[in-house]
Amino acid sequence: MLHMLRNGKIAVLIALIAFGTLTGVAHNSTLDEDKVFSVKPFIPEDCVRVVMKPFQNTLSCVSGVFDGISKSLRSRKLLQKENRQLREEVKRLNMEVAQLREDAAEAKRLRSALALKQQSPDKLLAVRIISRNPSEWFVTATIDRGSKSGIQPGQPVITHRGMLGQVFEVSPTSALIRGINDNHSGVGAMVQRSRAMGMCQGMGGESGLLHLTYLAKDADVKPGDIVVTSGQGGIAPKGLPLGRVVKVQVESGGFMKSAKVKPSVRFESVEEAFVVLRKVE
Amino acid sequence: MRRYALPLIMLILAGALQGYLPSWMVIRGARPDFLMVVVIATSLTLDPLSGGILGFLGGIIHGSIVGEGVGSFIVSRTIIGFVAGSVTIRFFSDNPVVPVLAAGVLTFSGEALFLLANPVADLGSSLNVLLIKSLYNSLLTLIIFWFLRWMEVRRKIKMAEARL
Repeated sequence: MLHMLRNGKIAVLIALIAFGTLTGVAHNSTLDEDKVFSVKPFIPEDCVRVVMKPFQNTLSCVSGVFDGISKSLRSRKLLQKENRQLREEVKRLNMEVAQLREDAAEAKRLRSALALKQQSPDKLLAVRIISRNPSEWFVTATIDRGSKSGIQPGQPVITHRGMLGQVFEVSPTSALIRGINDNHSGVGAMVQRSRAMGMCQGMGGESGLLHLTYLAKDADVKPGDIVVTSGQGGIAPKGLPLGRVVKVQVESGGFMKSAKVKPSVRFESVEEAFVVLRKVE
Repeated sequence: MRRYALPLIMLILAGALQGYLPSWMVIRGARPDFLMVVVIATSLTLDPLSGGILGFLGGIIHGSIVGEGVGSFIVSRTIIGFVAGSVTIRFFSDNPVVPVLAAGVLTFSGEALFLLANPVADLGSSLNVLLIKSLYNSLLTLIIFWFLRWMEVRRKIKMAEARL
């Protein structure tokens, strides 16, 4: 102890304690006086702060960086999770949109079909096409109603866009229809504008066109004309659209004209149709 | 009898599928003929008579769903089945070229025979359709033929194991 005293170490210790005590007392006294007043920093404190500031700044920066990294890692995970959820949501919404579009298209089709049914003087039976075109060489389809529903061979099948075909074979619960563009189809037709009469026959094959034949040599027909059923022959009601003329030509021999007609109904895309329940001779 | 059950089921399924072909499967007017593919692929694993019978059944099914040219379907498919069955006697091998070639040639000649009885207006485009259809059927036949071979091999292995 004496030795330490001689060295002055105790003195230094006491001085430090005293300094600390004084600092504390001084600090407390500035705080206790009145809180309204601004606290004047005690000089040593101030010094310490000046010295500490760069370290604090650096530490703050470093901890900020680490904090940023950990936050970004956390947020990356969150973002990935959010991204996954959003992708699933987009998928679900896309499916919903597709379903709604499908419903809207169906509603539009059915509205047109309903309008046709209300306007038609004949009794119409709504049918669905359940199978179509099982061979390249024929344009045929199967409908979901048969003789039990009053369907007979020869009855015309129509849509709101025009004539689709004709029933040619019937079983109790289903029937086969032949499209107007089938090779074996034929229906009385006329040009809507000029009333020129002829006969529309199917051409089959890939083109899907109709052949308007037996037109008089001087018949007034031009591309763009609308061709409708003439009602002659008793197969189809009069005035049903068949298609639009795309090409007019004079038959070999020059005695008659004929025209290529693009059907108004695309057989491949029809889903619902009506069978005209008229008595067929 | 069990040997014929699978081809029969396949024929019925093919018939149902034939009327529901999605539009993307139709290439320039040509569509694969599942019924004919089943007839050819199956007949290649059978004898000529069985092939002919299968072709006959395939023709009836196809004619019934089309509603037109039933007789032509029956005759052409029966001949196709019979000839495909005969191929196994003369040329049979596991070489994939055999079913592919047989399907292509038989589709083309069978459909040409069919068109003789049911002439079409536009022969040029029909020929095009026929060629694409033959290619289509060749590829499909290969798949079904391999599947049937695999089933046959499995059946034989099981029989051998049962004997042991």
